[in-house]
Amino acid sequence: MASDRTFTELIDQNRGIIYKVIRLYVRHEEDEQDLFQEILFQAWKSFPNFKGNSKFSTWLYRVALNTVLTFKRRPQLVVPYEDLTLLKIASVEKNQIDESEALYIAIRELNEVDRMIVTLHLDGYENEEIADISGLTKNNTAVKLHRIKEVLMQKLKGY
Amino acid sequence: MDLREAWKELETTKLNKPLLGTLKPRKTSKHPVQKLRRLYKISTGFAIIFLACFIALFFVFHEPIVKASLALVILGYVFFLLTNMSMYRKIVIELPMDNSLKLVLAQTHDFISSNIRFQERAAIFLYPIAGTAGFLMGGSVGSGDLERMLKVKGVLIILIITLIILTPICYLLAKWMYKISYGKCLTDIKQLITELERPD
Repeated sequence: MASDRTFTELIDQNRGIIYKVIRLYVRHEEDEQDLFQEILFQAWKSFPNFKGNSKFSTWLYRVALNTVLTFKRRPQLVVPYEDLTLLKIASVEKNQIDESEALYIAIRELNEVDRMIVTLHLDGYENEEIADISGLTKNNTAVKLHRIKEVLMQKLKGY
Repeated sequence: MDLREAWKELETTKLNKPLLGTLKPRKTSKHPVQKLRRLYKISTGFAIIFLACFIALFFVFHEPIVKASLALVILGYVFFLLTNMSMYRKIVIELPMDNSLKLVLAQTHDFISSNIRFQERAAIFLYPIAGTAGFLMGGSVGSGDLERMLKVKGVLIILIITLIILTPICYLLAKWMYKISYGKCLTDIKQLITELERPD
């Protein structure tokens, strides 16, 4: 029961990580709820493996990413409303979309692996930790990250 | 634009905000592999029931040919049951979600594909055996004298033609059903693995 309470407390403190991962990878509201419950379930199931070698937040981030990326999600049936190029054309002034919203849209336009690498980086994870979470080598992580940042900056030119 | 600054703002304004709707934790998983695990439990249960029925029928029928085909069906079911149970145990042991993404994806892909291959093989080998046993049992019950029925011209030909038609149909049906259920999931996972393995 003590471990039940510890788990609940740790999840409550780190709930934001689950919300963040879901917001970055899921487009349907029903999927959001499904994924939230699924991440909690998978975290609870894997919690006995958590030995405290890393921070709980890092461990939860890993479980959340693995769950979301292996979960069968609903296919995207419509053209995303949040296409940066379309929004740029639609808005009279670029200032109508703020920087953070533009970044969100640009990140969502990346493929899922690139999205994972760059968001872990922006969250302050070192290349070694990103490599450990993704299964990439440290060198490949650094190279990919460099390329992704260039793509992002290109997309966000003018903001 | 300073990416980190924009990211921090994005976290506070959007990403870390609670999701809408009911977010109660649940006790079962909807993950594709866990769904398969449940299917294994169900199919193991059914296999045990059918196996018990076939064993009972083995003692009910006396015609050697029916007994032989029932023995084949029983052996087939025992093999199916053992493989089913070993596949089920494999999922429990080998799929923790806190490994690296690449490993989790590879394990998930391998598990789903090997399961599909297993089910397709079962469709090829088990359905014809079960079909033959069903045909012979039906014949035995319907005609009252199976040996006489088998001597009727054309009965064996009908059985062979039926099996020739049914076996590929069952195989293709199983293949199609698994493609519908897991095809997209497998393609998506494979795409992620390729993306992870692609050198920049």
